[in-house]
Amino acid sequence: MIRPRERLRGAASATFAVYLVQALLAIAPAWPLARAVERAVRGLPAGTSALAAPGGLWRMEALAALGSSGRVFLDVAFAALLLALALGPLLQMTWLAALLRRRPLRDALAQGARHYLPAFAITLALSPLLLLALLALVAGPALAGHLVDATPSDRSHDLAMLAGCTPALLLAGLWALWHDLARASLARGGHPLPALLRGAVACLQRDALGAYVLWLALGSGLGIAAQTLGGLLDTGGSLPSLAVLLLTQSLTLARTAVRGRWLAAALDRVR
Amino acid sequence: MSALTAGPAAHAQEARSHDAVVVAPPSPCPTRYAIEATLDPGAHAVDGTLRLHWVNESATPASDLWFHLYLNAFASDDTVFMRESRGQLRGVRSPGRGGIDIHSLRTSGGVDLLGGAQRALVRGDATQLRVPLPAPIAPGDALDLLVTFRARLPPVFARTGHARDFHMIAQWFPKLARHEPDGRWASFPYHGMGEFYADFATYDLTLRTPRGWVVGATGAKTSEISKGSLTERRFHADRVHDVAWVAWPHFVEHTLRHEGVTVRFLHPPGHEAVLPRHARIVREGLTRFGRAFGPYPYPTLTVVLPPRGAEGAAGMEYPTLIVSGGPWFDVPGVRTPFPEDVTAHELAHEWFYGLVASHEVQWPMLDEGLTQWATTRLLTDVFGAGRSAVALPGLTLDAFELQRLLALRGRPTPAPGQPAYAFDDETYGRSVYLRTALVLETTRRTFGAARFDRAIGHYARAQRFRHPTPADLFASFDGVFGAGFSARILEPALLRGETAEAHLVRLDSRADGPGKYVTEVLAERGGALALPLTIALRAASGRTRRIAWPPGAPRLRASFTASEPYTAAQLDPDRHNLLDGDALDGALSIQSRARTGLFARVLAALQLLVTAVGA
Repeated sequence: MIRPRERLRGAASATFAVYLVQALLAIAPAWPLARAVERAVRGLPAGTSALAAPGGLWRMEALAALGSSGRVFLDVAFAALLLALALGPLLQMTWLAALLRRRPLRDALAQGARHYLPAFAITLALSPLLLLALLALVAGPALAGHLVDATPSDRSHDLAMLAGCTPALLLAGLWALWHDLARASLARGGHPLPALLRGAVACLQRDALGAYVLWLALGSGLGIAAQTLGGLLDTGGSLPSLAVLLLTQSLTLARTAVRGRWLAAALDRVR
Repeated sequence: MSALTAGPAAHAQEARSHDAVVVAPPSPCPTRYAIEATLDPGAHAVDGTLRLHWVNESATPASDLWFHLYLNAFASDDTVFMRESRGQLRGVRSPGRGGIDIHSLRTSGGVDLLGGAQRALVRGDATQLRVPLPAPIAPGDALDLLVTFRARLPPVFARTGHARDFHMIAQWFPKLARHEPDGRWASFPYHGMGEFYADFATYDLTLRTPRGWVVGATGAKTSEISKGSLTERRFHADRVHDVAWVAWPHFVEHTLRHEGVTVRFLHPPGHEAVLPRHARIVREGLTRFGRAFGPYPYPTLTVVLPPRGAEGAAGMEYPTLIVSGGPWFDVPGVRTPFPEDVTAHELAHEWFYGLVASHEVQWPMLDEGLTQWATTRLLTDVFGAGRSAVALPGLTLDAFELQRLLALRGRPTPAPGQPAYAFDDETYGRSVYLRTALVLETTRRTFGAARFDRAIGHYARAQRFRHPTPADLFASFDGVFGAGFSARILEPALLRGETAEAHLVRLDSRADGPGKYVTEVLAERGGALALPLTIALRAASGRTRRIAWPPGAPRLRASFTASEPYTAAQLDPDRHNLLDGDALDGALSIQSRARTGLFARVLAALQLLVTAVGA
């Protein structure tokens, strides 16, 4: 039996390819946005370091200077996200194929392309669960708030509404877990419907949700670390910009690897 | 040093400089309102009896009386308030109707005056009542009236109303319009923008509510008796120009004493964690505003935090009673605008509205604008400039700078010195509140904090218990800064909306022989307000040089020779001028710092988003 760590090691090129595609998608809005901000503050001797000055004077000025052009960056970012959404099944199925059998990237890509539509079908099939989660996000707090409507305490009311979000969070977590496991099952072969069923069975394993949350938390932690460390080192001026870029991208690559480690484990859960 | 920050020595010195202005304690007024009111919580109504003793303090005989019936603003969609506001205030839509019914209006001799009264003086609007008198009242003579009325409260909207069993009872009784010294009645319909204006008077309130309810009101409580299912409380207030009260069975009460004032907090259950933040800013405000503008003269102050669903009552001031707002939770170490900003703002109104009772419709900048300046100054002094608006991990914002961008970027606004009805909902806040505050703070920073504080302190003290106009404010400034100062600075900025836009056009530094560099800088003004400005130049070695730009010069061209090139120029480096909407065009650099890691950080943030929707 191949252990998840070995699967990940065998699919290093696919993992790096996924990271690269996602980086390219993010560069599309990030580059012009960063350049526009730099242009706005080019008169300042401290350059973009002034953006971190206490009181936020230059940060506010730069934001105001972007003005209506800020909308263009939002549009580009939205387009990048849509493209990421469209490419998602291809990337994930390619990645899973590489993790499953340690194939060359080209073969894995071909396998991923074959599974593109079935993977989309799984997403569609699970979309009612996601809609249910969204519904619960609206209805749960409202219902909880209604149940304690008579309380004069704003704190009790708000805490009850917060607790009312729990079903929505559980449903969303279940959806994400099922989605990954079903696609992992699909990568092992067969059709979307049996893959969905095998995914559902795997969801019921005792530690499935816990394991998913653990890997999710680890990846999120790396993402937050990239933001925090990048901000501290950049605004502190202690590192050249290339070093900041290398640091943040190293952490982002590590986050991709963590995601790959979970997908490798998911393949074994739907064996 | 700011009067708001001054220590005892500076305070004593400042006090000596204002010896000429005696700050009088509140004393009984000739005009007296005695109101008995019973809350009907089921009908959300108040049944009241008003005994009014009115003295004609003007120089001419009075042949009529004018009353404000503010609650009638909510009687239909056709009122002036509803038409001007389009049925919303601060983004909250009017959820229902309210009004005031006058059942009887008689003299103490029993003569009915209601029959001849005129109600709808403006089409569709019954917020004013003109009452012709059977015989003119001579100057110095008095008239006693008995009025019975029923105030029907709307669902909470525009400062007043009910939310379930919470009742904010404001603008609720027939109140005389301000009677000007020349005998005119300063009456006006309740406008969508702007607030109120009335004479100072002595008030005695007798308020009846269901037993067990908690009540807060303008004035000091003098008695409390429970009879059957009702509790009757009496409140007394000298020299105030309005009274409001609040009643709710679930209020939690906390009291503190500071600067000789009993401060009473009424808040919903669960707000205990955030109460220390309200209490701190109230203490700071009573002390610092007291030093700057004269002491708070009343024995009590009530701070109300309305419950959920009654947000429309929040953010409002009444004499000795303020309604704040904000969340129930507190995140230690994090500075957010709520709750301090609203509490500080409403507290500052106790001076610029409560004590200095300017016409809030005709000159809203005199109450809202001065209050906004005083509030932001207080927040700056208490929390530091960098944390005065927001202080989150990785993000701090300066309140005055934030207000500068909000006021001066985007859609142009009318000058702040206009009547309230000249504005819409958006421009009212940006101009009346923010631009006035920016004009005052720019004046303070440019022409000296000590002199500015003397000027505004003089205005606040001299106009206490009076009804000043902008001319009185300008006179106080001219008295300190010299004749013509207001005509040069305050009037153009406040009454005509002039700004002090300026920018750097060119910076050049070139070699002119061995070890010699000629540096040239060119700057231009865009705004008509003539402020003295400074340009700071910096050499690569860190050496700096400053160039003064006199107020009369629309352009500045300066050059000098030095042993090294000066590579960066910064207009207004000390941030005195807050009347320039664009600070970036006041910075030029020949050698900007090498590209930083901004792209790396933006990229990492966007990668997080992309991976969330991707594989």
